[in-house]
Amino acid sequence: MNLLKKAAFTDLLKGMKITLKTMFKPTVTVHYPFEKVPPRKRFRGIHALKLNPDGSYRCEACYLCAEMCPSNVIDMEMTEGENGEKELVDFTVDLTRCLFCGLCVEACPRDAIVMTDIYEFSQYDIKKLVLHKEDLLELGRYYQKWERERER
Amino acid sequence: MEKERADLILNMGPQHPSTHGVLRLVLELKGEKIVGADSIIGYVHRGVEKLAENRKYMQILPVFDRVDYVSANTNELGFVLAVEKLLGIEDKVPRRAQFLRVIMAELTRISSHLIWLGTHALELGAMSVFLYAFREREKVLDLFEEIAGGRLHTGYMRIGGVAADATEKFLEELNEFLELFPLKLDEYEDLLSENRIWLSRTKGVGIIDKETAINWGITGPTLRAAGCDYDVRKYYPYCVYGEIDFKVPVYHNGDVYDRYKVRMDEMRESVKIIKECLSKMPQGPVQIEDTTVILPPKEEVYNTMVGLIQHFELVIHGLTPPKGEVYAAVEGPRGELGYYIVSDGTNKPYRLRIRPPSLINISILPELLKGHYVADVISIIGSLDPLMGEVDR
Ligand code: SF4
Ligand code: SF4
Repeated sequence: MNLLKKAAFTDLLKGMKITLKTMFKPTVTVHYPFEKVPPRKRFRGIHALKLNPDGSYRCEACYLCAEMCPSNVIDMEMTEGENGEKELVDFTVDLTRCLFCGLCVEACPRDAIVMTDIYEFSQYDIKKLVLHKEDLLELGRYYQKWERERER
Repeated sequence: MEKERADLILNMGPQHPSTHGVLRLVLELKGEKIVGADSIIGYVHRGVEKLAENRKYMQILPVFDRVDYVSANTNELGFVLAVEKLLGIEDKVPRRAQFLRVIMAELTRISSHLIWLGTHALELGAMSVFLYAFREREKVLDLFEEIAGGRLHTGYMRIGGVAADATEKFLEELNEFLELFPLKLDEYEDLLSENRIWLSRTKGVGIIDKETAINWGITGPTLRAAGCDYDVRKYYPYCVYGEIDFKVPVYHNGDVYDRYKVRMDEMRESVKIIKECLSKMPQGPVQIEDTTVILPPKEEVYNTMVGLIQHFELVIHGLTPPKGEVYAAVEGPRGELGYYIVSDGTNKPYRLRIRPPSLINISILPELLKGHYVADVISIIGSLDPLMGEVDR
């Protein structure tokens, strides 16, 4: 840099110009808890279990999701139902160790386990982060409503 | 030669904000000059290589997202290429998938370099560059979310293809971004390249010459700033890099300023590579048609018996490559990221070793810091761009 340029502060003024220009542009910051960006369609939030249209469980307790999960967070319990079919007793997803990788969704052969768009699930009690069957089915109802709206 | 005696021993880190994570340095000072230095690592060791040995090949991918947590796609890509080499199916992966992989890898390079630019400039006192760089990075993360569903831990690559095809919206937004981004790069360069404070903090600081760089095994932008044009993308092309016309930026002084220049030029090249990929990308499937490697399409699983059986087989048993050893490398944002896999013919790797560019690049630190002032330490660490998650694994 030659001396003249240095004395005229051209290098600094060039930077100042950009700062000044940006100052009058609309802000891009999203003020998070007050404003929210809706997640995209493929977003992987917390899990949910879908129900069949007649209200029966879609999940067949085949264990594929548990088998696929890299950190072993899915567990389930089942019994023999009245007509000799498998029936789900409990289904747990331990969110404290989940990687939100979506492999369980990919492994499910019945489209039963899905991932919602919910990403705010902090809790004071760690036990509440282990989702049981009831929570998952509740989330499933939410998901299916959302899914129907999305398709419309 | 007798070692100069230190007046003061200064502990820097592991919680120092500008050590890019948890690097700890023990500096021996004589006045303000450093006469000796020692770097201590291992604070975020998670045993990733061991974790990988206990998982089936398909399950390893999400774990590798977390090795270098700001450039998940290149991490996955390296691993996926290694497994494909082991299976001998590199050529059978559909071309559209190859192009999508390259696009994602280059976007990752941009987002990683933007983080580096922002934080490095912030450490050296330029606050606005930090804010601007993160503004653009947000756009890249939005693109990742659109195509893959995850912002940082994308989980987009699969052995034998990619997870899903690009959506219309993704391509639209990507084109918009590619138009806008070079202008923003000009802005950053206007702010920094001639700024006298930036120049005096970076020019002639932390010089690594070509020979030293090669002897220490340094790769990536740090090596290219020292005048050596080694780039895995050019020397050992993978995916479709062989067909794409791009330059490898090389500078010759090997100081902090040149490393900054190399990274800026690399981002411009990345934009060009993505543009070329978009124009050449064919239509077609994005996953290999081999159900012993990748899960069959969902329609087949839901509706046909064969599909269902294949699906069960693959999920339960995983894919089983033949016995053998492979090494595959990709050019990550920080340098040559290599994966070495020893397979014993089962569904889990017998041994997996990652060649982390960050670890090898920062191993020169104790030598490099000698003779510099304390204030330059920050500038030097920043310019090597280490990522502690990758250093410790
Ligand atoms: S998202 Fe991944 S880690 Fe979480 S339950 Fe599913 S497979 Fe397991
Ligand atoms: S893979 Fe699907 S059907 Fe099988 S147990 Fe899991 S959720 Fe249920």
